[in-house]
Amino acid sequence: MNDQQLIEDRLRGFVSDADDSDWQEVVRRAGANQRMSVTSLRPRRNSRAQRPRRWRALLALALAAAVAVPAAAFADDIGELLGLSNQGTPVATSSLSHDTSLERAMQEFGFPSTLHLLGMRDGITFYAAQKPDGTYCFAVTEASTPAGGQLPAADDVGCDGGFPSVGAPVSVFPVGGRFAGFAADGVASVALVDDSGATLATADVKDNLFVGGAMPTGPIILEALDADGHVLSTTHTQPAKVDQGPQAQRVAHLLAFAECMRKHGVPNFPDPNSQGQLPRNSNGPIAPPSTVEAAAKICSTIVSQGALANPGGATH
Amino acid sequence: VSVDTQAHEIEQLYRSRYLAFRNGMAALTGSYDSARDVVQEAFAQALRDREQFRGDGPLAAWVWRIAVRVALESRRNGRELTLDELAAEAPLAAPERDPALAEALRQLPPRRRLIVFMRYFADLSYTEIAALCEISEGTVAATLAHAHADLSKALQSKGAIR
Repeated sequence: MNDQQLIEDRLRGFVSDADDSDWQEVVRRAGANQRMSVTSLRPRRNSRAQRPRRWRALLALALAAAVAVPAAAFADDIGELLGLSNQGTPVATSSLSHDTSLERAMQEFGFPSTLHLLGMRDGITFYAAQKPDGTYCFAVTEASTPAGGQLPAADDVGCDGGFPSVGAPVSVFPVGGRFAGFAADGVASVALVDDSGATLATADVKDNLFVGGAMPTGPIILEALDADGHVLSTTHTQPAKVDQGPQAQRVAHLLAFAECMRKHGVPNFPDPNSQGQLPRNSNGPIAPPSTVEAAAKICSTIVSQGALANPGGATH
Repeated sequence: VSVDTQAHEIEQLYRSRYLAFRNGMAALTGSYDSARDVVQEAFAQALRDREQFRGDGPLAAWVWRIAVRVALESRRNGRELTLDELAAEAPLAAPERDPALAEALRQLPPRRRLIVFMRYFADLSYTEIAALCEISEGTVAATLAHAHADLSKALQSKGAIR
């Protein structure tokens, strides 16, 4: 062994293999310094073959949602929005799937070996699991398969890196064309409304699960509400199958949002760029945080969108 | 590159290279605990500011630069330190594992020591180091060669290698 190799080996002796990484903590930290905003509804129905690719996009959306936090007016609710108290009943993941393509998809997602049967509601069975890093993975099935049953081919699996968080207290899994999914503690009901504010579907949350009526088509807004009917978070989205140029939609919504903010006391609120990103304000807050929050509260009910990068300007 | 793709890439970088980041930072902060904190904060900032990444260099180098800035801020001495100045003060976590080599590292010129940290602790590639330090890859290679010679000489003078 020559000198150089010896020294390289000895240098590497200073490094530690103790892995204390925690991506969820990074996501939480990223969210903690954000001022406000909105989340993304994550429709997951898709062809089996496309699932892994789809999942990456979903994870990214969830991340974008997680870095966005509702107006600080709801800060008191934050503590209640970060968990699922329904622990369910453990079920071996391998017992659920005898379908190799589904199994492959679950492997690709890194599904934990044990899922928890959270419950059955209105003919839909819900499973959840947490990866070691805290990421939640879900499986839902329309058939009322008991533990040890088999997930039919049409059912859905996915992992949501941003759920549950203040910005993403709800994870929607439409099943059989119905409005269904998982909600964090503190969310008492969920509603889908259209741009005019008309309610399209509602569902009460029980044991962190909900099932409502038919999943509407077209642009929709998801609201998470607490037990007193206060809106905890607002999400603008449209179903995945409706492809109307999501980028253009996103930019259009952000433009409207920016205009609304300017009208409500934040005259310097910037327009998004063509990518739908808001420029970061490096010169400190563009308005007092209370003003930005008040305006955001008004505007988020009119226009809301996922992934507002830093709309209120840096506050740290 | 869309925002969402970048979030995914940042997560991939974190998951694939967390230890390298933490070990590299430990050399600069002096402990694994504080290095972990710096890395967590750096990735959180990277996630928030991901639209600022222009893709004109490796993502790892961009996040490393953020991490260095976080490490500098954590010193709270109110003064802007350069990367080299930071390296000059770098306390090196766990020097007791190899006191002779730790002492030899301490005596390296700051720039050489920094690049040694980046290469062997943070496991950064020549390309990433070059982007980070704004030098050529050839300079990275030459600097490492000099560092090896320095370390070898220092260790030999102590009889720590034959």
